[in-house]
Amino acid sequence: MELSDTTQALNDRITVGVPATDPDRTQMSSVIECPVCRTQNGGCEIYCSECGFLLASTPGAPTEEQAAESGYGLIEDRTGRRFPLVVGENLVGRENAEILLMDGTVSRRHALLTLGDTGLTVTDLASTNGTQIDGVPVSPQTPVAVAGGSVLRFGQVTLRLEALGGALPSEPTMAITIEQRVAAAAESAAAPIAILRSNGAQSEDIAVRRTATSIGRRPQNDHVIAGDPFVSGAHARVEVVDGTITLTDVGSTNGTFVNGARLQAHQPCTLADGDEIQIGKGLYTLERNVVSEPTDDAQKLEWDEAAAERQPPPADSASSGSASTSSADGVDDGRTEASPL
Amino acid sequence: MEDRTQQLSGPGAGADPNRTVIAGGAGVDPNRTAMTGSGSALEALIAPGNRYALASGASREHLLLMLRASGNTLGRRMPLNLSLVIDRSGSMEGEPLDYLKRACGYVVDLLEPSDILSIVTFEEQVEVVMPARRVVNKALIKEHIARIKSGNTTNLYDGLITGCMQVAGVAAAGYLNRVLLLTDGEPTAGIKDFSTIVQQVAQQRQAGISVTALGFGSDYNEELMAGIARRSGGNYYYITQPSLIPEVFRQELESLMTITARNVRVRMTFPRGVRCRYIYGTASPAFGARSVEYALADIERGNAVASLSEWEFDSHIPGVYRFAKVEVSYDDVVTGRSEALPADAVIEFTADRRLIDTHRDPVVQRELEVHLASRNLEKTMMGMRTQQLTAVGAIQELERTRAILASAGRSDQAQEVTQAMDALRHGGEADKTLIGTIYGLDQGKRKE
Repeated sequence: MELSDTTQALNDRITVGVPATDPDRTQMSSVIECPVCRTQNGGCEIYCSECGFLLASTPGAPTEEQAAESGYGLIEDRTGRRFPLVVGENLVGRENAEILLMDGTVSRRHALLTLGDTGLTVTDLASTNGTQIDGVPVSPQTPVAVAGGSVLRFGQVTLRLEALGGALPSEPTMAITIEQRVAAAAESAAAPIAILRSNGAQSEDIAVRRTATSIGRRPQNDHVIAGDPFVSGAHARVEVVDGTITLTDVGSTNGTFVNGARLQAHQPCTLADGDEIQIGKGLYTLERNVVSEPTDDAQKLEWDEAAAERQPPPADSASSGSASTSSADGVDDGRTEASPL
Repeated sequence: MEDRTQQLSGPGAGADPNRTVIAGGAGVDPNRTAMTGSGSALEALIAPGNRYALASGASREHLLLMLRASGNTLGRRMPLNLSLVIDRSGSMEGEPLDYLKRACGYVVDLLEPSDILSIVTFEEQVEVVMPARRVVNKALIKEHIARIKSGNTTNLYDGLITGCMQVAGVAAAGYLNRVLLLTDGEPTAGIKDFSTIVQQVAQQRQAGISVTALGFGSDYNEELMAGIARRSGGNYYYITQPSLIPEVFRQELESLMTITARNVRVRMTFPRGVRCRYIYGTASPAFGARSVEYALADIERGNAVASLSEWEFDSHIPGVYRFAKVEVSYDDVVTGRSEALPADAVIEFTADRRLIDTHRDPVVQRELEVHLASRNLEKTMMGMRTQQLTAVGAIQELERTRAILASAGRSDQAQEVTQAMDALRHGGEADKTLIGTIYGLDQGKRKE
């Protein structure tokens, strides 16, 4: 059974309403450029391999919100293909990367672009052929700030950083605002605000970070408690808002207890220093870390030259954040393997 | 229904002239469609929770994948390679062991000479009563069974391993491997640790051996037994009284003999701007950067398995997109071939909120409710265990869940919940029944 045949047959039966198009188009052209993301697709592709767009159809006009957005993107010189950047980490590489460059001179995990409130940084992940910014090679495993209009070179692929408008995209998502996502991206560089100190040998301390820390048995959580069957897949969430730490049971089976009292599900409970918390079989005591209270949480996120030139966070403080980087995505998409900045 | 799903195979899949032909334009070759459909043991239906999603801003949607095994009885069944692993600890003495021997004899009667059977018993020591061999001399096998006597403690782990080794020892391919593990108590000898046992079971699954866990009486550890079934993709049964043992063995054997698709795996790859947040009811989905892969239960003839996932979309320029490329692979038990079913999950991003409000799919919604019902059952069980819920309170909770299940067409599970409520009313316990209900719901299996 030939895959393309099957897809074709299937496609004939697809029932989503589509604007009528020239039926000959796919047969005539051997390469189809996606009208949404400019990716060059093979002639037998029905959907864009990069963004999933139905190639034979015409995209609608961007919505008002989308027109007002001012995202960042990398434009590939040779093809004009555009890679939008997300707030947080964007992996450049030849396999399973957000910015997928199918070129033999690009390493599988080549470089990491981090878009945060301090601007955009590029970190070469010890790639074989190296990374260059405006013709200057960067040293591996060191984040380097880049400004809009810079030309980035990964192996032999050249991309231009495009910064439309002047501000970061500011639309709120359903559950997580951009501000929180930026904070989440930056928090790997920050010391925890508090620690839930484990009282038993079987469980580990839980670091409470600047935004939300989800706790549970599933690997998607920011803090994973493995090996305790009394902990639910998604068990509880610790949030920090204006320096107040709250604990919310997210509908766990066995409940979350603060000083012996079971929390109502989805009702945040404010925690004080020294509170005793029980999650599954594990007992924890809250210890606040006075030093790293953030003061600039609500700061407006502006992309400007000054921000772009601000120093990236020191390289040695990022070691403990591997579990927390996925908080903004909900899905552990493999990025957590990335070497710390 | 027609509107929203793409049917992959099966009859009546010809092109509808009223529908827009998207690509190719040449119309559907009827022969090609028929080729996809004929001979395929499974058909797949795929339905997003809504035909439309909001273009601007992030949004979430569910995706339902339904796999259905055709009910036709053509073709021979695959021979079984079965190991009966039986607890003969002291507590099994008397009536339980008598019925169990009868049940084993029953299994022998149902098997054919092409099947392979081994029998292992465990107490403090593990004994291979009969090593793996073809079921040719049924009288001799029954003599072996008749000689089983009760001992003292329960070395479940070693018994289980020995059974798996008996199954693994059969070198030839082309058998449906299964261990039937029956116990009436907590492991009291050998390795007793939950995670070690369950991990071992997961490894055996990798080697193609599933374990069906049969818990008998009121003293076995239902968490352990359900965990074994869950991690190995086998079934779980709670046997309340000795006289029911033969019937449960018959049920399990019937289920094994009608399996048409096994080693069912789903792989979904998705484009930029799309993330899979969660796969419902699956023990350990493997998430990649732009893919997720997981296993589903074996599917018996005439049965269906539903799998629900939750997705998150970034802002999209309005238009029609494939948000997941789905590929289901499985082994066709009748033909012995590996098959693949590809499918596309498609959604249209639009700025029109009214379209979204009017195109929700009630079938997907109901499936979601069923999964929430499963979580409710877990909560009720835990509430009872931690003494935060009285029997009366638990019965009220169960009644609510039962109503949801009944209205969602899950009559089997609704009935199990009724049984659990009856048990509670008579001062009994409900956990052993409910844990099976939860497992059944998570597996997404149902009779069609």
